[in-house]
Amino acid sequence: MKAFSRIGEAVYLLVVAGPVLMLALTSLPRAPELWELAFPRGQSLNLLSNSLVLATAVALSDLVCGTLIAVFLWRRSGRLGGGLRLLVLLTAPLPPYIHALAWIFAFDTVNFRALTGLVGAWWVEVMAYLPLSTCLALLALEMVQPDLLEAGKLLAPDQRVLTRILGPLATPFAAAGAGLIFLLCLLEYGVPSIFGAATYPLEIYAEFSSSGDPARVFFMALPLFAAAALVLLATFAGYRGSALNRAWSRPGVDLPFHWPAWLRWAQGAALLLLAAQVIVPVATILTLTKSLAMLGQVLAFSTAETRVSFQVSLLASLLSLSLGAVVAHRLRQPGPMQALWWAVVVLPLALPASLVGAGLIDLWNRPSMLALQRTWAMPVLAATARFAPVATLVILVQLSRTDPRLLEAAAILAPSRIRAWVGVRIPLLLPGLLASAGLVFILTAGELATTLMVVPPGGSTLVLKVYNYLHYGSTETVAALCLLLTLATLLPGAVVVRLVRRRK
Amino acid sequence: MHAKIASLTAWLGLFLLLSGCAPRPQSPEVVVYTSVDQVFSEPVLKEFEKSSGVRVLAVYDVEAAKTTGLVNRLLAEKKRPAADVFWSGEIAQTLLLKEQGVLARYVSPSASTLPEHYRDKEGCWTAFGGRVRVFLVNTKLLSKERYPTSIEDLRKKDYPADKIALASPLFGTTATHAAALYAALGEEEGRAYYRDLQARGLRIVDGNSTVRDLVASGQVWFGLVDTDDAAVALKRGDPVAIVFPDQEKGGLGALSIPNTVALVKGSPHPTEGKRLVDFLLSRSVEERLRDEGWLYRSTRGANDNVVEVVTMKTSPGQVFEMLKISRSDMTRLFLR
Repeated sequence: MKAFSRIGEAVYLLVVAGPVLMLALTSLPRAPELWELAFPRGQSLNLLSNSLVLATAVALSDLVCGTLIAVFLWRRSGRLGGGLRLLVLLTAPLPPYIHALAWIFAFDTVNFRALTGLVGAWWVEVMAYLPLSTCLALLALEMVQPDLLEAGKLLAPDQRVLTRILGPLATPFAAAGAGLIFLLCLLEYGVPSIFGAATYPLEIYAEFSSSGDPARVFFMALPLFAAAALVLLATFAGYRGSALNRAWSRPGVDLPFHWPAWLRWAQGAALLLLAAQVIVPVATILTLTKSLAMLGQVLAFSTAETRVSFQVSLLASLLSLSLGAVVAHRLRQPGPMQALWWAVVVLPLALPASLVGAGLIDLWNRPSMLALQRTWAMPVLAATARFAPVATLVILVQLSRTDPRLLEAAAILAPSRIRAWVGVRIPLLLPGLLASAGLVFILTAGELATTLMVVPPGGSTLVLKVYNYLHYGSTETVAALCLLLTLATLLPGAVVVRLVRRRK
Repeated sequence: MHAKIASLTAWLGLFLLLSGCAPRPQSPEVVVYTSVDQVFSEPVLKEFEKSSGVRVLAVYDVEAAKTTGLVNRLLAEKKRPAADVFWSGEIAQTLLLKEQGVLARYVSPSASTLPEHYRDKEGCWTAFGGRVRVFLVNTKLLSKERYPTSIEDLRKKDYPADKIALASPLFGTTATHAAALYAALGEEEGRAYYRDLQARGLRIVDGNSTVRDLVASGQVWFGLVDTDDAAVALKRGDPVAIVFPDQEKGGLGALSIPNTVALVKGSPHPTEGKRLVDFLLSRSVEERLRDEGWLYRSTRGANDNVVEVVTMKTSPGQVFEMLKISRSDMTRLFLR
């Protein structure tokens, strides 16, 4: 079994950390010439601070809103709970750029044109990442041991349970989620560009576009890399401790909580925001699609792209899942290598997407790998390189929730390893596995910049097609393609929600 | 034991991955990377497939990637190129690729009828046709006598700054336009011009298509776009008109940005690549692209249905020389 784990870890290092290492290896010899780029000054420093302020504001706003919505959904089962969870997922696959266009369209319709600059970018990014932050906050709440809540309820009113038990216990995980949102925003360039907000990634893209020199861009990206790493390591520090030291717990009884009025009002406001972030893009898309016939037409000429997007997302999810499971297991093992593994998992999350693409080509474009170059394996590897760390972190959460005594009992009593595995382990880990697969699936479905660098000639994904038609100004086609993208992602999403509910 | 779960999933993933990796049947094929809009380039490539029997595998660039997509892919693949042909909607990126040694020498017989300055002296690229930088004016908001006629109008106070839109001069053809103005006016004058535009506070937006839509919806009076963007608005029936800047006698002229075609050095299918280059540089393709609205003018033959345009006299080499300087200035001026 150790051999399998070592192979998995090696593959993880190759696929996820490989592109970063390749870039570093080719860039570092030029350090004497380029090191100054890593220390932004004057205007560049202002741009960097804009990016940090924007990412922090979005992460905090989403943390608050996502947590409020998650607290509302947390103990809510039945059709309402399932329906609302699905609603959260509805617009998740749409790239933030499409959210931005939808919001601009909506505001233009009512002649409201004050949404510009950093404020405009903040609003749209908060809306675009709200589904993700809600999912992460839900995971954070699910991590809290029900025994403690039950004990707390016996001794104190619900409000004190909230502020003294639920809040403090969920905070490390919620903070880790906010760290992920911060990172996604920090690297986002499309939305700030639409709203005319000057941010550091735009300067990086201007440089990459002008010089085409990955080494220069690598050094320019180092401050983002450092900022992202600091924030992630700080936010995940709590998560790390909680995930590693947390005792397992038995499933609790769903005791009803009676929240104070102020929380119910705040939840109402957050739910309104959730409704807005669903209604605005969906209504815009439906308005612009105009007819079902248009959707049919678009489906007819986008069958290949829909199939490929689905396959790439599915394969990237499976690969991320398997690699994530191995490395999550590794992260739980204390020892001198543990911190290094944390860095390996967290740092690749902080690279601009185009750079990952350049690193991937550097890594895989070799004579022995030519067979791989022309296939959809490259976009799968690209998505895995970008999103396997997300899967790793989610699986780690699930592993820490699993009762080790059940696993030990299964190992002793099951007639075969396979039976123990199929009958006990997978069912126990299923919610975390499905959640991580779902997240990677959604993120992959909306990925643009890295995919463009490695998409096999003659092929395209739905997102690439959306952006192609976007420039041509064919709004009906773009809207129908977005609808298709949402449906293609929502169907597996619905399956995941259903399986998780059934499992519960 | 978690590793067991992982390994089984890994095997399943590997199986699915490999099942999608089956090699394609061997038939003549050519790989083209193009930044020409897919709606225009795809039918042309299909026609080539039909007439030549060579399968075309294309990768299309997207505006949202901020011109960091295919050019950087070509640069990254330089040691072992996957592409045979690069067909660009403009020229600056092609010159960058030539400078980086990505392009091969190939003088296409189809290029013999093109003007000399449309052919690279070393045979690394060939240009054809032209998209022109024009003013797109909302006809409901501006009467004909108030239409802008010169790029100088962008800095005149006759037009409120927030009623004029310009795509970000850091990327795409707007960046090339800035470099061309630096070349035509001189570095100092070019810098002063853009400094004035920045100080005025024009509405700088994400791309030319956004400028087009802002003009069409009446949110701004006019903006600078490429003719293919303007053609889309006209085709949709939007209330817009095209105005070519600086057309007076002795005037600066409008910037015409040609398409460029080049063969990639060390490409896997050079023979098929050359056939595609020949095809793309043919007169019939150029005229087709003009008729469909991608190109404003054809380099060869009659341009019966289009207004004759006075174009800027700057050469591609001069524009490219200025590109790095102007881009650095644009970043300093407009990204703040």
